[in-house]
Amino acid sequence: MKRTLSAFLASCLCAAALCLGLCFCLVASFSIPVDAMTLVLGCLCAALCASALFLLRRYRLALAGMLALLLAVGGYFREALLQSLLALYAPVGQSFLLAIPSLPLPTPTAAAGEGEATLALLLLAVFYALVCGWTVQRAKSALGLLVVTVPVFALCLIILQTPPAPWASLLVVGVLALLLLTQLLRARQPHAGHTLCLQLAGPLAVLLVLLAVCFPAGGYERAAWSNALQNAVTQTAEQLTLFRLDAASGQLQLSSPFAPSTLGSYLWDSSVTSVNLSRLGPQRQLGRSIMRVRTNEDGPVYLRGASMAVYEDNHWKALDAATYDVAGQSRNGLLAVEPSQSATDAEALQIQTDMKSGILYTPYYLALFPSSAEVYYDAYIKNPEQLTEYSIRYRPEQVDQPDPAYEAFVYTVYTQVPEATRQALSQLLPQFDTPLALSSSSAVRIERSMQVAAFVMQSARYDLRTPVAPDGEDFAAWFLLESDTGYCVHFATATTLLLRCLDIPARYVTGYCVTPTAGEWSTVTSDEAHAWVEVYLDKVGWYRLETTPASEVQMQPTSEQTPQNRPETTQDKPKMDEIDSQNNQKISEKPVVSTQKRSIFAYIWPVLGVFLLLFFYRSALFLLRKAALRRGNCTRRALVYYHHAAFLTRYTGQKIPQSLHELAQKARFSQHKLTQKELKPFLDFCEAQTAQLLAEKHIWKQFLYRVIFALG
Amino acid sequence: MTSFVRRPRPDPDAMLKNRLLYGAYLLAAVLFHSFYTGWFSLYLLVFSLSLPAFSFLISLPSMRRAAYQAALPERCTCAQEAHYRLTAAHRARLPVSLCRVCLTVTDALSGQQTVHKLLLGGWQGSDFLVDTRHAGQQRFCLTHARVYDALGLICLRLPLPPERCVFVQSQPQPPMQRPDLSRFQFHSYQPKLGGGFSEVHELREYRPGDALRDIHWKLSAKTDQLIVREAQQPRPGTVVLSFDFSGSRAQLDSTLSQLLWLSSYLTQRQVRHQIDWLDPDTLAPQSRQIDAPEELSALLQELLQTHLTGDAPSIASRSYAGADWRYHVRPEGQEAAK
Repeated sequence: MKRTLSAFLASCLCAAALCLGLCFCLVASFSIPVDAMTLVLGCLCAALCASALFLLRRYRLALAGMLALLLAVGGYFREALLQSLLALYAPVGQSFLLAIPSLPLPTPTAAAGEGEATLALLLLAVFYALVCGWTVQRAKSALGLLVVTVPVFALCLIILQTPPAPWASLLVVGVLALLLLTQLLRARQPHAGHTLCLQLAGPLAVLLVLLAVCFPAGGYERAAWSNALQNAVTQTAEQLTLFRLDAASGQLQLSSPFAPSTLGSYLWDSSVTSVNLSRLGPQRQLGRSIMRVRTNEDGPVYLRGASMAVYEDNHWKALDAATYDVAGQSRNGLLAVEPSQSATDAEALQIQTDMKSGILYTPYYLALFPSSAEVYYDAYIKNPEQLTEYSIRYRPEQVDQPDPAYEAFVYTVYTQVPEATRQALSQLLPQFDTPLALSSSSAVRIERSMQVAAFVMQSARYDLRTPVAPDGEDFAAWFLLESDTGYCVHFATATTLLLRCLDIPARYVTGYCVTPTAGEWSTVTSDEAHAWVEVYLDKVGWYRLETTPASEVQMQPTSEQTPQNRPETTQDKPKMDEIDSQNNQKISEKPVVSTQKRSIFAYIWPVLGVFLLLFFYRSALFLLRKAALRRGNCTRRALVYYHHAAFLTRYTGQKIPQSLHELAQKARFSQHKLTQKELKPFLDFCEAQTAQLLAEKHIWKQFLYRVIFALG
Repeated sequence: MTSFVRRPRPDPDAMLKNRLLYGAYLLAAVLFHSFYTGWFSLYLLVFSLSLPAFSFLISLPSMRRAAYQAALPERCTCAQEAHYRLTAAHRARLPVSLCRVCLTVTDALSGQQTVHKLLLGGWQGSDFLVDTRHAGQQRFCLTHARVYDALGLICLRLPLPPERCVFVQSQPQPPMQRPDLSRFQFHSYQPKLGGGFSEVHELREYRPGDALRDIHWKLSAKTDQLIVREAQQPRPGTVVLSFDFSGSRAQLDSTLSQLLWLSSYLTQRQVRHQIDWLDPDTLAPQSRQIDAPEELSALLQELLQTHLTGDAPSIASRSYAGADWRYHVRPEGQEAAK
């Protein structure tokens, strides 16, 4: 009775804590609408029922009955259940779509989010109560529970801006830790394990709370050593990368799954359609490798990703295709006037990306780009085949041809500012004189743009630790009027919107600002991601404007700009013939062999992999044989033992005794069935051979036999 | 079958799996903290680091007070069921998570050692069936005892119960062909010490010191010499039992069973006898006089602790000139002594 009670109480405690923790993790993370009291009571009931169920001797039957009952109830209330599931999905899906817009998730409808998700969460609680009850009372390992708990918990942790409630996290962690602490005992003496579980619950709770007090969640700031640790891990992992992209053949495209360069690279695509400014907080220098670039010339190159045209609700968004169609504009200001397939006089640039992406990162004024790429209006270059290696030729300068239709489109679309933002920024506008008329010359516009850029640069200090903009505040207004610090996104957004307020067409652009060495492959890391502004000038096209004070190329319009309209501050780039003469190695369409030597660490993985494969193969083989040795009648087992003895004697160098040969022949060919007594010599012989193999050997031989031959 | 000696191996890494798993978990926590910038990663890392210390501290009282008791009968006979029982005698409230003990069973006759690794948790004990198929002394020794904390990462030494021995003795069994046991009843007569009356007596001339009541007056009168009646008592002959301390375990079992039966038979009849054999190590002749059952028991204990080599020469051919009756005990299946 006492044992049953301790098992029931331990199971109840763990199941209730786990259900409450997981449910409220979800509720707090995604602001799911629920009836909290009903949910708490439901979790407690589920824990009690599950604990009682697994006390029964025929618990499988009871479990089947309970599941059938749940199915019946679910079928009866299917409308309400469906509504509840939709109410659960709506905030979760919305959060994920906001964070990672490229996720292939259906967009939740507004109506779905109106109901309560209590019923759906109760179903989840019942499932976890059953798993937890089974783990505590019937299973010897907590691994199963860990496996089913992690996904839900990870769901809450994936998006940094929606962390689960600390108390709920602690409940989940506490339950898992409690089960780990009692696992050794539960496996051997379950009732003692349950007693220990109950006795450890108090001290463990104290420890959890004490740690939470010492390391509070509120005001948490990541320590410098954490970043240093991350860099160290990143660099080590890069060294251990198994396959690198070979520039010569371009065939070794598999990189280590642990290399951080492959992590988060899909986030590129999110920038194509929108940038959520309200979630931009402190940034870290991760140093993740994104791509490698090779050019013919030294100096900074702006690799343009995508431009954003619409600013609303603290989001930068791309223009819909419908807007372009309505406007009847498909002209692309990014390309050279006459892109051609030859373009031998253009400058060359080669790019190798670590991960596939939906867009191409390109310099301005492309003269030649992969044939499979598609120009998406004036915003970016699509990469439908998701090429990871491509060559591009571009011209350093371009004289745009006037296109009145496109200019009208630009002045209509790229000067729009939300009214609230315009009003918030209006106090800053008088210092830039009156708004310019459409007939103003490009030089005047450039000068005005430079004034704005200078003002923005002086308005704040560059700092990657700039916090998230307060809720309800306009991002640009908050940055310009309240914040002392900012980084490229802040400066570029503020400049773009100020320029638009002055009726100068401008847009926000994301990409990478890299400084490669001529003729060499340069690694582009995530630290070189950048945002800048493009200003539209009549007869010039889009003019890149750098507004971030920390950048090395501050206030330098791109060298690809038109010469006649270029401001005096710009610098001329060397001519193509000069570049060609400086570089003996001419860049061809195919990549050149990389002379980078592979680290010795790169060879560790294959060796380790071969050992592991061998070990797993041997282990599986030996496990199967051990299973066969235990099952079946004595005649069958004798034959299996005989084969096993033959295997062992290969290594001991001994011979199988004649008596065993005869017994094995008897077992194989005779009608006589062997008895347990006749089987025993086989067993003794095999035991003796195993012991001989493992005894009186050097340590390395013992290791060999134990690990590779899996003998023990 | 090949016989082998399984040596007890020190096994300090019985919980290697737990330690490796914890190492992997800690590594995962470090990596998680490296790449996840939220508060939870730091908390998880700190918690992971403090968990072993917590586990050790919370388990320390029970680890310090963990103990086991061992029970084993001193002797038993072949084919009799006997158990070596290890019972938990912990003195702490919290149950002990895990204890690891190596139980080494040594058979003195064959010298074979068998090591059993026991993992005991809570108030769990262990029960071992003593191998009583053959006669011999078996020693049960506990070694490498460790008690672990709740996570199985840190261990302390565990106090051990002393070594226990059990003597598995043969059942007395009469020889298949019983020897003529009447011939060693008496061989001749000898003067009775202290004199006195006896139906059997010798006559001899008087010697100074003889008691007057021993003088045969009637015969002395007839012969005109002092003739004394000297009381006689039967003199038992020298009885020798010999056996070979060699052969297989089954042969030795048979030999010892017969020896035990014969010696007990003689002891019950108060026949003092001598048991001879060759020491298997030195091949020197060994001899013991048996007058009482205790002496026979002591001899058996000594024999059961002797290492059996299996190929010692036989003592059967040795002659005993002074022996009035001698019997060489042979195991069943061998030709009986004539």
